[in-house]
Amino acid sequence: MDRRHLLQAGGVSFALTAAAPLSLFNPREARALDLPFKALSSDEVKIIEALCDALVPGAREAGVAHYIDHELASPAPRLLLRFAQLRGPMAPYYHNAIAAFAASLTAQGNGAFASLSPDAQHGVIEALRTGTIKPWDTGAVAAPLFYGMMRNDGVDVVYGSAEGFKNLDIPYMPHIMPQATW
Amino acid sequence: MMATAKKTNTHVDAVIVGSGAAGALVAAKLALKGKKVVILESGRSVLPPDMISSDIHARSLHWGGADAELQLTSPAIRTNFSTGAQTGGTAAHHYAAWFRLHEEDFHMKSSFGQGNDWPISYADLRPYYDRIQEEVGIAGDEKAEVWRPAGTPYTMPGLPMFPAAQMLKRGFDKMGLRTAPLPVAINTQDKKGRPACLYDGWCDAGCPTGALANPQTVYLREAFAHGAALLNNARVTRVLTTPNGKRATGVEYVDAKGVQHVQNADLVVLAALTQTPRIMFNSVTSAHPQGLSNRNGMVGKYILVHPTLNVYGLFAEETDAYQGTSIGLMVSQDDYEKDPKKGYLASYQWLLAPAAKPNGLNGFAGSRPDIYGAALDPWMKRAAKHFTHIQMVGEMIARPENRIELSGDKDEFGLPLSKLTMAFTDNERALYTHASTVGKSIVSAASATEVWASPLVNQHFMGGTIMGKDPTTSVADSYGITHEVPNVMIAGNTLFPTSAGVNPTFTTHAITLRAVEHVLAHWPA
Repeated sequence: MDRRHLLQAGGVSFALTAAAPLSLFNPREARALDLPFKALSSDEVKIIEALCDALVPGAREAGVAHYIDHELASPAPRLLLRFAQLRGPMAPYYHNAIAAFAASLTAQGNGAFASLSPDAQHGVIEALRTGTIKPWDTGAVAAPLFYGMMRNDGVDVVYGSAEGFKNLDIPYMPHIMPQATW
Repeated sequence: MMATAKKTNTHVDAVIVGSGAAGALVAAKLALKGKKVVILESGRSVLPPDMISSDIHARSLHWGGADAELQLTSPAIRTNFSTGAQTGGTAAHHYAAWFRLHEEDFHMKSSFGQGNDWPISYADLRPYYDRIQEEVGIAGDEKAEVWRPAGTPYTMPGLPMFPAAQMLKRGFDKMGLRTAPLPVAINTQDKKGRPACLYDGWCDAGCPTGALANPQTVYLREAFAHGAALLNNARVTRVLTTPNGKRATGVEYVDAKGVQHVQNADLVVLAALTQTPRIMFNSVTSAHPQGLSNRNGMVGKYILVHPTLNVYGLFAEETDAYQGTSIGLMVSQDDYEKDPKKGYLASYQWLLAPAAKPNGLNGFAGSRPDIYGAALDPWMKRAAKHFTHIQMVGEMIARPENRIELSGDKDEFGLPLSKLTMAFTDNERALYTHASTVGKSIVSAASATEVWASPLVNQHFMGGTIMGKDPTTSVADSYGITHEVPNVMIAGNTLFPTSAGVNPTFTTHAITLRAVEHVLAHWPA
């Protein structure tokens, strides 16, 4: 770090509107532009969009799959799973859990999650949330944790941005406004 | 990435490992006295313009990602949220609740036969609390804070009472529990060239305005003003010692390009929180076969966290909980006294009305993980206007089996990672049960229409290289000087022999100021 910069930046003269070195990635725009995925397969994207949107309505349009993909492709993903303190890279935890979810639906004789009726989707989500979904690949994270991952990521894109705050009718009040969606 | 050719840097008076609260303070005070100081920080550069107001951005200030170096043997206690690797270390995202330990906190073992004693008393530490308070500035109300140990008056008026705090105070009042403005190292008025807080509730993302006293704002600035240097992405791998092991000669580190360096110094300061035990373990020589200054096997033992509980409420009135500070606005320590007759042995306190954003680990969406689908958006809209909560910060009894050891896994440089073995016991669970019942009663008494509680969670990180009077049962003396190598000084939370029931950072500063002045008075060590 350049100590001259800290001495300049730490004082009251610091300009709150100073440009920060931000990624300009915006998941909603990324989805609208159909940008290619870096870490997720097309099948995984379909599952994430359907499940996250069922958990957090609006998550699909808000670009939840692009958000997860962007973070998983980064060296230090900021997805909330970070605080579970799991060993090794984060992406395999997502890949394995999504595969476990899809395999469980297949084993139960169901089609894809998106094809299920609302009532059936609710039943699957409740089983996921409570850890009663059967079967569940024990090599994946526990089912309730996968439920939490999908819900948290959906909440991030729907409610964690300035736009999300506006929809909740609360002020964002930033010190430094994010130059991306969040 | 394997380290490549070794370079030897210019000799300095002191090399400090870690740029967090303790490392920054040591650097500032040594540099002020003309010592040539270099700080080696394993994390990236984080300047105030990097502190972006967003929960998602804020997560990058907390330790995590693919290279988490503290592996868990049990998922029950996680430490990533309470640690961080960047300029300013963990303190770059700390919430600045600056409490003094109580006298009873220093004598846990002699009073109750459990945990440890500190090698110092409150009287030893009080002058340093007072001086740090004067240097940094703390807002509070010492008259209302009836439990506060003796000390000079706060330097600024207490935090304002936003609606959420006023509502929660009603509950404490009805229960006969006293409250006071929460003492914080946050400016409530312009002072010492730093502005007053804007109360926008984004402290967790770092405070770029300088209102909150993080290292970037106070002691790193002071250190740099007096000539100290800081190197980011400089990962210290071991402490180097003389062949007989009686003195340190410096440290070895690897830079971002994988180049290995030797930084020679008269004084080595280990202020790297979770990494301090690991560096000591990895500093094996024939003179230190179990790691640096670890003949007694005490390095890594007595890891501590604060058991934590949140009690949430929805109110008919609007709480405006989006504003305030991340730590909260008020405190109650009416049940702080340690008394085994309570059914548990621990101190604890309540923090009232932390600012609440929608998402993230502390977001209100996460307080009700069972709500989803069509029910979620109406609930979020209601919570955005009517949610608030109180938080219990509790004490954990120090136990040697809660420990850091070296892992069988190695990092990219071939050195073992560390792993944490830690568990709560019936004592912490009894504290949780008690506080959960009391907390729900308080929030209900405050007229909340819905009340619910979190599971037992945890925050902060302490212990692992504890201070003590007895060299056979501790790693360092009360100044952090290691028992076997007198020019290696440990600084920071890892010295805590007990957790007490209050947030640690003010005490971190007080013990560090006391230590660095001792070192300067006895230079060279």
